[in-house]
Amino acid sequence: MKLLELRGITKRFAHTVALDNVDFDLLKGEVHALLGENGAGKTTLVSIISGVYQPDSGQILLEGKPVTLKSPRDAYRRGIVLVPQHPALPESLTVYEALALFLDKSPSRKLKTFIEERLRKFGIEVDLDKRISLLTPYEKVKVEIAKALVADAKIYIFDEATSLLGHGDRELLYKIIRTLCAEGRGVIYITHRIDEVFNIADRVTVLRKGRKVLTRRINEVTREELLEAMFGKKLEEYAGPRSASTHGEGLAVENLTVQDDYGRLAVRNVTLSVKYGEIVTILAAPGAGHREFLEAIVGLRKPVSGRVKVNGIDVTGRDPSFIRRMGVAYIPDDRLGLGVAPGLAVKWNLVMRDLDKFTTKVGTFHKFLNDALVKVLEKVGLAPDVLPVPCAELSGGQIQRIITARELFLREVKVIVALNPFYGLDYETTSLLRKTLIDLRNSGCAILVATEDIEEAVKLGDRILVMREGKILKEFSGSTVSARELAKVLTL
Amino acid sequence: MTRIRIRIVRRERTTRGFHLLLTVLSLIGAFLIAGVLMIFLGVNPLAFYSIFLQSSILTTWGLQITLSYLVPILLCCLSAIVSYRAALWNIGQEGQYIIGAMTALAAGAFLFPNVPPPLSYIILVLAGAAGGGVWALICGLLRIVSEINEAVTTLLMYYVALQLLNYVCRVAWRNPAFVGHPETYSLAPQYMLSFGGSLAIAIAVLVITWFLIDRTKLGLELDLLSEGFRVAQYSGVKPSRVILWSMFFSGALAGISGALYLASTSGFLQPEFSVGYGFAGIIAAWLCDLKVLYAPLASFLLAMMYSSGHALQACLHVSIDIIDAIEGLILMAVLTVHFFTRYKIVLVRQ
Repeated sequence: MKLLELRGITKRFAHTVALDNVDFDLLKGEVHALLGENGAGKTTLVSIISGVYQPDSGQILLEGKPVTLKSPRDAYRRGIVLVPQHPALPESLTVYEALALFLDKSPSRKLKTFIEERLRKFGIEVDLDKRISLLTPYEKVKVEIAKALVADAKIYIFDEATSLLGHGDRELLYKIIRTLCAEGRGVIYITHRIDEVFNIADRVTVLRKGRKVLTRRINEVTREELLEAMFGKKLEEYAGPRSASTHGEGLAVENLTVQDDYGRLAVRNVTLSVKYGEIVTILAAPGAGHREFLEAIVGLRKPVSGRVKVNGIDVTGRDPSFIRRMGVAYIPDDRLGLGVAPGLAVKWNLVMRDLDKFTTKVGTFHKFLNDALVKVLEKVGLAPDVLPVPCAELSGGQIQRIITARELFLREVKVIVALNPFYGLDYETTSLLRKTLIDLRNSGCAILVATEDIEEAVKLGDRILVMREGKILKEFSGSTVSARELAKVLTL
Repeated sequence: MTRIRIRIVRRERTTRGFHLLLTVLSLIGAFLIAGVLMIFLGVNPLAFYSIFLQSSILTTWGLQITLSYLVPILLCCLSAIVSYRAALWNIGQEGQYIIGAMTALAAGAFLFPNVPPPLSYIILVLAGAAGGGVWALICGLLRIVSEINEAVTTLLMYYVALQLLNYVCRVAWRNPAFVGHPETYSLAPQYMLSFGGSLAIAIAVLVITWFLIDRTKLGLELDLLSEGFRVAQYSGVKPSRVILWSMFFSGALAGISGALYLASTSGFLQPEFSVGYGFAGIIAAWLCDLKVLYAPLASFLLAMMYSSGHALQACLHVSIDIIDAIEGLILMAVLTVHFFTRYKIVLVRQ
């Protein structure tokens, strides 16, 4: 019996098609894994199932009946529960109060007994009377799972749940999922790791670029077929010979350990060095710790321990503007949240990282300001008439060009750090940015790029490192590696 | 079957001219509604408009009064602009205005009563700025140290200031020469300012503020802070430093407002010293869209309200509280402008 069926779901955001005519179904008592690269449409699909988004077209059937899921609350009432990737809990309540609130019930002895029994059955140990603000990040994840378990839902969705729990508790999660299935519920399990699919799933659906590529029973599919389905033509990418002539150490990271926003260890004891004249790419799946790693290098995050050296000078724990003045550029992937100040004009977005250079001692702006800005805009193919326009009114490609112009051309840079620099960009901007980075490599910059895209890692990297769970898993030479090899390591 | 539905849609981009036109239309709308209000009060709306204009700008006497109200409102308006540009919600201008007047009185009546004129005016302004600035700075510190929202603390600190005012009027600085009504000792005579003098100082403060906010990187730092802590940090702005600096600056402007008003009117404090210029300044700040150069215009409109209050009461026998109602209508007009510069209403056929 089909618990859930999606027919021809299509969802567009502005100019991109996030989901294109996708079919999906879930049977009673099965685990259906949803597999795909970053940006394949997994999260959008799950958001539609859990009522966050409404599809532009297509049909949702719950136990055979067509429904419209108006909101997450509506989906919850119909028996759909999502365990999100990042805990979002009411900090001022106790665990028990939060669970009661979630269930929309008044606290009572009966309710508490029910919750205790239910959690005991699944082997989840949390102190119900503890205040949530006092819990550790791992305990908060357990509370999110506890919330789902007491909800008595028909459909459970786990979004990248193992990245939440870490190695130790993985078996506990698998046990929970098997118990849920034995009770006749259905589980949708989102992951980008093929290994996990073989471990836990009954069926698997692969999404690529918003389309469904295949749905199979797990014993009728091979690892190779899944790789092919996830990455398609990208697997055929081979790196060409590299002409890097390196000299000296531009960036050196020694035993760096960094926490994420939730207080968990995101980067564990990583050491790497980038020489002048080479591009090192870090290939990683979302949440692997590469974001925190780069942010610790450029000063946006204080490391727990370890050292960061730029051109031999220790910059560990210094603020971003100090590191900027050492000649470090940072291209973040959160363009509107960090890369630019969306409400301010392009002009101010261009000067904001180098205020020391563009202002006098009194704090007034230099007269030559506009000329300098027009020149750098030219280098990224933008006309000077964008200068007074607020960044919020520009396209993603234009914003990335502004960030590029500011970070690379408004100060002499020696070290370039970039996070997912090509994510969501149009073809033209992608090639412009790639060419710019390669030109700067050839003229002697040390470049570190972290990306979640195999193709970009292969095309750009002189050396390619694969990162997982905050550690460097393996290193490849950019001139000999194939995308297929990288894909295998990435999806282990 | 086609149905027509009303939908609210985000607007792409609006020009400055459109914004100005919308502001003027909304204000006209606010005064039309005020006219309707008059009809309900049994007053001829035309008489209301005529007395409003005569008592605020059309007579020399009225214009003088308006200008005297302009000074405190303008400075409180600048105070609001400085903090709102950084997305810091200082709404306690009224309290900082009181404290500024108190510190100015302390300097001009007790600490340095014998200083000669040009220096005495400098002391007056600095004392007012220090008092108001520190009063707001306390809220900035609370924001940084324990993340207490400054909108709450600045407002509550107004009530503390009000009680302090009561205390100095009735107990600490009470002038025994006044029997009956509690009043303080006066500023030394060389501290007293003419309306023209206080207007000149206010204009100087306006120019300095404009220069700092619109021509130096300090203004850019405020804007960057308003875009969020992370962007600010990434661009080398230290959020806590900018918060403290902008709260002090904002409070100082409101403090100067109190000092100048004290020195250009009676020269002594009384419990009725707080009449709401601080709150009027907040409305003016939104009316001029947080632009320093338009601040005088917006403040002038609010000052007109204040100067016509007594005339309206005397000639039309309406309560003086009517100006609070009109102030509210102006605020509604500001909100309307904000809404329509961001959204438009369209009819959709389904």
